[in-house]
Amino acid sequence: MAIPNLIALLALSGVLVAETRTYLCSENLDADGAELETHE
Amino acid sequence: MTSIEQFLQSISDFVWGYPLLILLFGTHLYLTFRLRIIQRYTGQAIRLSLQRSSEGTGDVSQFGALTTALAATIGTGNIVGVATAVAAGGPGAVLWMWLTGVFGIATKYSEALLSVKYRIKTASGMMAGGPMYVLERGLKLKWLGVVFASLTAVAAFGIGNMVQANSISSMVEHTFNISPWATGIVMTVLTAIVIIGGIKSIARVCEGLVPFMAIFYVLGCLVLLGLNIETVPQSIVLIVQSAFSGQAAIGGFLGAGMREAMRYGIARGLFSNESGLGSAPIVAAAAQTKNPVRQALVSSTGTFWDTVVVCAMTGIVLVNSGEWANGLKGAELTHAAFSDVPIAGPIVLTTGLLTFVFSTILGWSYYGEKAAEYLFGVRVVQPYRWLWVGAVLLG
Repeated sequence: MAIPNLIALLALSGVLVAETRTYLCSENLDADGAELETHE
Repeated sequence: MTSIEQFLQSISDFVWGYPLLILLFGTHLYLTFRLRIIQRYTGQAIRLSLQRSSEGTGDVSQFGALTTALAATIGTGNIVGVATAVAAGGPGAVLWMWLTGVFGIATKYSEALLSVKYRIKTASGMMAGGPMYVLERGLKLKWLGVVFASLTAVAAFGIGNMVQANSISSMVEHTFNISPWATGIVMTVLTAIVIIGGIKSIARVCEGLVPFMAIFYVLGCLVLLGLNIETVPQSIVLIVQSAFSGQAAIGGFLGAGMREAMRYGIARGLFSNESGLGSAPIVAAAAQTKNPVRQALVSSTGTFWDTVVVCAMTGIVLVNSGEWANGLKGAELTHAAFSDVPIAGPIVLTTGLLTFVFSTILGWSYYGEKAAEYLFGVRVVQPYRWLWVGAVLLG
């Protein structure tokens, strides 16, 4: 079960970086996920 | 052993051998690097995990999701597994295990983030997420999601249920002379009471049980170390030194080079916290959270507590006892190390093992249930729970 999971992690690492930037690096931790998506 | 069993054994040895070790550890390092050392947020993440806010949509609180994941993760591996690593790799294995846990935080963070991002709400209004949904909705690889869910549903019965139930009953038989049947029935009833109520009930029990068992065990270890405080500094020096230079044979210990210390330490560090396995994100998806990153931070502290704290405690107690030098292995080594302190030692050990094992059965029941739900729909959930309870008795 680890291998399909690792494939997802590596293939979507771009998404990980983008999400982390949106919420963590720009101090948006309290922002609502759905709200932010509509603002994109 | 028949040839089929031997064949299956050799496959599992191969898959769980070097290739998977390198893949998992490589992912830990890669994600740590890509996310620019996400570990530096661990302090903030711990504060976040203790806030009991119920904003956002989800089935359970962030804390509930974290403790359920920890329930599944903290198991006998945190005690006996560490002893096996020290017996084979020498005291240096403890440092490698610890470092692997530190890197694993990045992977746990990543799994949980994706899992929350791609979760869905099922027809019954409950949350459903995990690698199977990430694979289906994020990567459009539904077949791979099915592969993951099938493996999880099967693995849950093995590592998450029967193996655990079996180890609990043999332990109780060994220490208290109670027949495995009696233990089996008590365990089965307790499990049934908790899991038939679903994730809300599981999380409620874990929120109380997990902090209790972890704090009890860590405090117990600190007391044991406190009683032999004069050797603790040199034990830590020994752990660090032998991590890089190996440990020569002494007493009954056969000796281990740096390679063995690395290999066994890293392996323990990888498997103990399940970072990269894809299990914990299933429950992360059930959490009430405003955005994926919040829950990802909270989930990543699971790896911190499991390996960086609990496993490290066990490791230091084992090395400090000096019993590893007598050539003891696994369970014997833990017994001997904890028995150095009369009464208190065995109590800490037995209570630790019992609660760790029981909580693992609870946590994994949810993983298996969600995997089965993904494969066959919501209607299989109740039968699956009863099957789970039955398997406890069998184990």
